This record gives sequence, structure tokens and C-alpha cells, in this order.
Amino acid sequence: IWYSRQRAMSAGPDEFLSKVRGFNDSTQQWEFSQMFGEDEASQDDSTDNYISSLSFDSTGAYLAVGYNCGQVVVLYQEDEHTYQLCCEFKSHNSEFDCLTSTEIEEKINSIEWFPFSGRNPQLMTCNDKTIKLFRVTMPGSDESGGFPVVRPRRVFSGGHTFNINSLSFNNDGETFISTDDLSINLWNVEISSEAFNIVNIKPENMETLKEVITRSDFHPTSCNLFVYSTSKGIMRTGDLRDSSLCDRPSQEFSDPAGSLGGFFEELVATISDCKFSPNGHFLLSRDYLSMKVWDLRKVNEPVQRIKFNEHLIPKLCDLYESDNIFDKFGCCWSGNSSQVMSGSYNGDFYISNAFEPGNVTQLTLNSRSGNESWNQFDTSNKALHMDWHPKQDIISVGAKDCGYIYVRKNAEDDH
Amino acid sequence: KKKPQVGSVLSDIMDNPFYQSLTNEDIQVRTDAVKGLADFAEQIGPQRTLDVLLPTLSDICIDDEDEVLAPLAVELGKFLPLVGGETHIQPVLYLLEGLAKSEETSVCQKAVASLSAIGAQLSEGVFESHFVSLVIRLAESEWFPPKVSACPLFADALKRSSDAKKEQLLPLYVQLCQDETPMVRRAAASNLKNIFPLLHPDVILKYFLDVYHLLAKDPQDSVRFIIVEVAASLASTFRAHNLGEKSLELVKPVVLACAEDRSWRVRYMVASNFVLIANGIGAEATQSLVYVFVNLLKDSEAEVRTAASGKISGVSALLDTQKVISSILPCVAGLVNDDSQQVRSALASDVLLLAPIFGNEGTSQHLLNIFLRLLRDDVPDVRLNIISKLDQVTKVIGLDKLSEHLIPAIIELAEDRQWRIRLSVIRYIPPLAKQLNVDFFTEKLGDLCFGWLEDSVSSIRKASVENLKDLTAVFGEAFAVNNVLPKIVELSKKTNYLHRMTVLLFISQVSPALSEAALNNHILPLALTLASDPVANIRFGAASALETLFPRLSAETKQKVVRPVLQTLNADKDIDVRLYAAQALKAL
Repeated sequence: IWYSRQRAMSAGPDEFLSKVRGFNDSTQQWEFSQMFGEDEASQDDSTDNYISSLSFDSTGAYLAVGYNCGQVVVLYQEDEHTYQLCCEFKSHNSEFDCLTSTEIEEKINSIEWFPFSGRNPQLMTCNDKTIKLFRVTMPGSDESGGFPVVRPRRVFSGGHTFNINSLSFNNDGETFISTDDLSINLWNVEISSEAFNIVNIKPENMETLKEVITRSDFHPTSCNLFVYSTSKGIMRTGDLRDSSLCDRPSQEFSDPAGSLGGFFEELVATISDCKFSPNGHFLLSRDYLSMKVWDLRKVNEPVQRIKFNEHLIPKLCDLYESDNIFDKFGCCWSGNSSQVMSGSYNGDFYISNAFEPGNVTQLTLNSRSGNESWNQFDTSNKALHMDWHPKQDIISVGAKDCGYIYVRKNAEDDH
Repeated sequence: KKKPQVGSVLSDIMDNPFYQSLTNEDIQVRTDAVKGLADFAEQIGPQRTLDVLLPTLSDICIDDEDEVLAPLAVELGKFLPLVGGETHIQPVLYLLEGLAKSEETSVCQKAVASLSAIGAQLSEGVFESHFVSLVIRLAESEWFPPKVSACPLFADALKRSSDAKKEQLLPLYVQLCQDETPMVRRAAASNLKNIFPLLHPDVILKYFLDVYHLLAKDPQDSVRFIIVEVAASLASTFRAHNLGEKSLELVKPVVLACAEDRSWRVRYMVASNFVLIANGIGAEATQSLVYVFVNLLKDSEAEVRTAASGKISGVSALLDTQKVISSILPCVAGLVNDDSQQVRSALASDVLLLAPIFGNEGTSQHLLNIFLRLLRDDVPDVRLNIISKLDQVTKVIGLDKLSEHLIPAIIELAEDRQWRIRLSVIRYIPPLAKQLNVDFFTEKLGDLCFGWLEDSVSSIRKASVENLKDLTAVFGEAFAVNNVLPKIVELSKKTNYLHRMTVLLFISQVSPALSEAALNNHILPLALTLASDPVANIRFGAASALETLFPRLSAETKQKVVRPVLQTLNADKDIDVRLYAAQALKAL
């Protein structure tokens, strides 16, 4: 994969200004800044080059992008609005599991950066079964012309029977959790031969299985708290201080009042992503039709329901038939914990003030050819993966095989 | 970086194959080469080490893999004599300083150990100008890995520093204890126990009082649980200066706070360090903290109870018996029925050590029931832990009271379905045998020992042979000849060839413990019979077994009795038999 860049100047700036549909907010001026990915659209239907995960590091200087083919690209922030290619490496290879006679895909499910920036940043990636820690060694300052070298530092394997869906570092700089459908393991970064199982929701009888874990996240400032979301639309927090096995959650967040009702209720309730706010006071969850903002002090309903996918409700039948109803969209917070973002079909993605109702900006990823088909509803163009720069108003969105960077021009206060 | 001069006598190094392997493409070659660096440097002498070798190592340090850098750091620690002494040590220190900044902990740790080793050998002037300034540079770095490396080196620096220099170094260390990254705070906190003993209590109070209390309230759980060890170290340092009261004043609030910390891991640290803390604050103060220990024995988290259970005997040794009986024993009675098997297992390993403290009467009265209850636990691990420490009890009250329960317990474990449990039992038989007389042993446990020879798992069969060897050492040759050998002969006639293999194993392992008479009368005939076994593996095994007997046999026996048999085997139809027979004949 090589990377290309298209500056906003190549087309009129008006074309890329934010589009607001039905909601009022003209203070947000998000502008397309860059695109990266293959230059030519791939000829076959191969999804190998599709982006599967995306993550800024804690300073925002680095952006890591993972692909279905197991490749990881690291970009670095050259100036305020531009990201350049830093390095690229093959993180995982596909493997054949002899015991179950299945192929283990090389698709990168999650990328997380080590929370403390050193001279040589470190990042962790995982596919369905194996977690790997890499170090990016920057060329020495006394040498001219060196290239960053990516070295594998640790391999954490054998910890999961089911497919890993997320990784999250603890802010103690020592431990992290990895989560699969039914369990969460706590690892020490230095020790790859052992992990502690801290949550296990596997029932005695697998026939009675009703709920799976979809994502998990460590609290940004409290080293003892973590949250996990499930397919039942519930989020549970665990406290590592309470006991060695965190099967009994500290809190359980659910929104019965916000349920859709009807045949598709359960399917649309499943939470595809959950994130603590950077300031540690709130939670964001993404279910199929909306984003919900929760105050950690209030478990029985969210403080805000941001409904940006209402237009999908009449189409639920078709989405179910085509399996699109199972798509897992990500979501994220802005660095100052005041805004949230998530993506949808058609290359659309939505940015909203987390606490003010009716304040949603919709943007659409410009396609390669610059055409936007307003009349067609394109379910193949899913803005699944995204992240927000932790310190600046820069966002990155990945859909299919292209990554996009948008920058906000007006430095308006949001609070 | 000096480049070797072209055409000089140094150029022969460049052609040296070892030197070239240092920069070989294959990482395995480089790693192996690096491990022989000190030897190579010794061979080429200090001049060439400085001029040629070190510059090459400098290149390696800049961008080689961690697998190469870690052994490199180890070797550099040996370089002080190899560069011709401390006047030339600067480039070596420079390389180690670079390695101590690595993000890879294994590289850092080796670099730090090497720096420490070299530092200890430097004279005062060089130590101050080179070593101490290096430590200061690491501590003032902007990145966290060098700061983490600096922490253990501070103890070395402070050990040899004047009071004035200490005044310069200590504020730096205090800063590390308050660093914004938890990794540095953890390293700084955990090295305090090496630093406190080097300082006068007044100095500790002047610099560390605030930081000590800050660390005890650190938001990171992983920092707070280091503070327990720090408290113990503080206590023992102050007591060493006869400031017991001040020590208690500093340590008690922190220990109490940690014992009630919301994080079970912090409470766990209090439990597992309780004896250390008790030794630090003294017996009298410990009496007043017994209730803290008891609470830990009753903690809601099983891991904490497990840690505390393992320290019961250690803590009880510091208290008077009455206190133990009134405060601790009631808990122990409860722990015997704890839900968690880890807790009961830890209890079983430790509780027997109370016997010497209680003495004969006390043990019979208060402890015997506890031991017996644990001996009947559902979980094999618990029972095994009791059996392994039994000698503590038998020293005090003798074996009679226990044997009636002990023997059935052993037999049950010896026949457990899990082979690893059977294996553990076998290991305890010889120590147990030492406490029994031979007749009692043979009557109760003899069948067991011989039964293991025919176990389905080969590790058990091997262990059982070793067991018989140890028993022979305990009971003497008569036991071997009268009890063991008949069984072995019986075994050699079994139809399953694996049993006959076990006999061969016995021959090679146990024979060294037997007399020459026994060897000639019993062992040799056995080996010779097996040499004509229908199974080839047995035949060549017999050949090797015979070879092991050679040092003990007379020349006549070897030539007249053994040689013909070996010669027959040398003409055997099986190729492996011929190989081993030829080998044995050669040894003859």
C-alpha cells in the first residue's frame, strides 16, 4: 500500500465545506485536508486493502492505520494539517488453526498506542487471536537520513479462544486488557507468558448463550476502572480494586426507555463501540441507530441520545437481509470531551456536541472521483473507523480502502 | 568515533572471523558472537579494544536488535580491565549509558547491572567525575526509560558520596519519586529500600518525609503497593539507629491505611510483607498490630487471605503464645474450611511451622486437630502440603499420633488419578522413611513403593527407581538385598518389556549404592539374563547397563563372564544392539 495525498486546493473549497442537513450549527467548519490509500481503485472485489482500525497516539503526532491484509501504516504529523508517511509494516500473517480447521485472518482488529510517549513510540496490534507489541525506532538525531525501523517487541498469544475485538492500555504504563466475545484478560506488558482473566461471561451451557462482549475500554485516569459493552445494549464497569475476578460489575448502564421496540429491537440495541471521555466523567456508546452519552453517575439512562441514523429505520428490513445490520461502527470523543463523532453509510459521518441536543453536523467523505451520489444509498461505503486527535481539531476517518483527514478551521469554543 | 587506520597492524582485526561475525547478517550469529566479547577483548589487548572494537560496538549499539544488545550490555560490564583500567573507561561508560536509555527493559537492566559492577571498582575521583555525572544525566533526561534506569544507580552513587554530594543528589531522587509517569515513580519508590539504609534518619526526614506520604496516597495502585515495602525498610533503618518510636510513628499510619486500602492488591502487599514489617517495628509494636493481621486473614478477597495464611507462623513467632492462641488460632480454625483451595493450600504449607513454637503439649492440644482436618481435605494439593512439612511436627510430638491418619492419606494420594500428584508423593517418601523404622515402613508403605515400579506413566517409573535408591541410602544394603532385589528379579520376568526396561534403569541407577558382593551376586546375573532378551531394546539396554558396572567389577569377571556375552551381542542381528555392544567392548 502506498500513500497519496490530495490537498483541498485541487478542487474549490466550497465543495468540501461541511454540509448541514436539517440541523443548525454554522460554527463548525470542517474541511477535508488529506486522503491516503491506494492511488487506483483496486480492480477486483478484494477487500484486502480495506481499513480495519485507526488510532491516534496520546500526543496526536502519530496516526496508525490497520488493514484487512494485516498491514499497518504509521503516519506522522508534519505540520498543523498534514500527515506524512512514517513507516509501514506487516503486523500479522494469516494462520491456519489445526485444531479447529479454520483460518485465522490477518485482519487488524484493534490498534492501541502505548500511553506514554518515549523517544521511540510503541504500539500494540491484534488480529482475532494474537496481540503484538511493536516499537518504532526513530533515526538518531545525530544521523542524517535514517529511516524509522519497526521492531516487534512482544507477542501475546494463547490468551483467547474466541475472537479478540479490542485492546486498551491502562494509564499505569504497565498493564492492558484484551477482550474477546466472552472474556477479558489483564496482561502485563513485560510478561507475555501469563494473563489474568478478570471477566468471564461464558455460561456453563453454551446453548444458553445470550450475550457477548463487543468492546472494552480502560478509564483514562483511574487505573482501576474499565468498561465493557455487550450485544444486549448494556455497558458494565468493573473495578480492579474490588476483587481479583471482576465478574460482578460495579455499575450497569442500560437505556430501556430508549428502546426501539419491534422485531429489530435487539439487533439495533447491540453496542458496537464504547469509549470513556478523555476527562473521565462520561461514556459514549454507539448502537446501530444512535450515539448515547452517559454520565458515570447515572446508570439508568443516558444524558443525551444523538439520533443521526433515523433514516435507516424504514430500511431495517433490507439492512437485515443484506447483513448490514450487523456492521460495527466505531465512535470517538474530541480531545476536550465536548464533542462526539461516529460514521454511517454512504460515506457519511456525524459530529455532534455531546451535551446540546439538536446540534449535529453531517459530513460526507469525498469519494476518489469527487462524485457524490445523493440519490443512491451506498451501504458498501461505510465510515466504520475513526479517531479524533487528542489535542487538536483534526479527525481521521477510514472507509473501505481510503483514509481521510479533516481539519476544523474556526477555533470556536464548544463549551 | 575513531576509525582504525588502514594498512596499520590493526587491520588484522578486521579480517578476524570473530570480529566479522559481530556484524553478520544473521541475528543468531551476532548474538552468539557478542556473548564472547570479553574473551575476544582480552585476546586482542587494550589498545586494539579501544581503537577497533569499541567503535564497532558503538555502531551495534545504535541500531541492533534487543536480543544482541542485552548480552552486549552484560559483556561490557567486564571491560574495566580489558581497556587497561579506569583511565580508559569513558567510552565503555558512554556505551552503557546509551543502552541504559533503551525502551527494552531487559537491555536496561543488564546495562544498569554492568554500570553498577564497573562503578564499584572505580577510584573515588573517577567515580565522581564519570559515574555520578552519568547517573545525574540519566535522571535529568526528558524521556522516561533513562529515568527508570537511574533509580537503582542512585544507591551506588549515594553509597560513596560525601554528605555534600548527597545534598546534590537527593533532591534529584525526590523529583523522580514525583515524576509524572507512573513507571518512573514505581522505579523510584521500589529503590527507596536500597537508599534508606545508606542515610541517617535526619537526612531521610529532611528529604523524604513529604514524598513518602505522597507516594502512600498515589492515585496509581501500582505505586501504593510498593509503599508497603518502603515502610518496612524505613522502620528497620530507624530502629537500627535506636529510633523505634519515631519509626512506629512513621510506619504505623501508612501500614494501617494500606491494610484498609480499597485495592485488594495493596492489602495483599501488607499481608505478604507482614513479617518484614513486624521485624522492622519490633515485637512490642507488632503486638498492637495483631488485629490488622487478623483482619487480613478474614479479608473478603481470597488472594489476600492466601498471602496472610502463608505468614501465620512467621508472625506468631514474634508474639507470645497466649496472644497467638487467643487472636490467631480462632482464625486458623475458620480458614481450614475456607471456600478457596488456594487459601487452604497456603495454610497447609505454613501452619505446621507453628508446632515448634507451641511445643509438645501445645501442639497436641491446639494444633493436632487442624493438621488432621487438612490431611483429609478434598483437594490433593492441600494434603500434599501437609505431608511435605510433617517433619516439623514429628520433631515435636513424634510420629505415632499421626501415623494412623498419615499412612492412609499417603496411600490415597499415591493412587491419585493425576500422575503429577503421584509423582509429588514419591518425592516425600525418602524424608518420611528417615523418621520410621525399616520394618514399619516396609509393612505400611513397601507395597506402594514397589507398585510404582509398574505404573503406567514412565515418569513415575523413573521416580520410583530413584526412590528405591534413596531408600537404600536410608535403610542400608540389607533392605535392598532382602526387600528390593527379589521384587526386581520378579519384575525382570514380566512379559511386558517396559517392566524389564525399568529393571535396566534400576541396574544403572541403584548399583553405585550397592556393595560389590551384591553387585556380583545379584545385579550381574540379572543384567546378563537380560542381554539375551527377545526384545532388541532390552538387549542393547543391557549392554549399556553392563558398561556402567565395569568400574566395580573385577578384571577376571569382566573378561571371563561379561566379554563373551558382549561378543554375542556384537554379532546380533539388530544394528543398534551391535552398536552398543561394540561401545561396551571398546570400554572393556
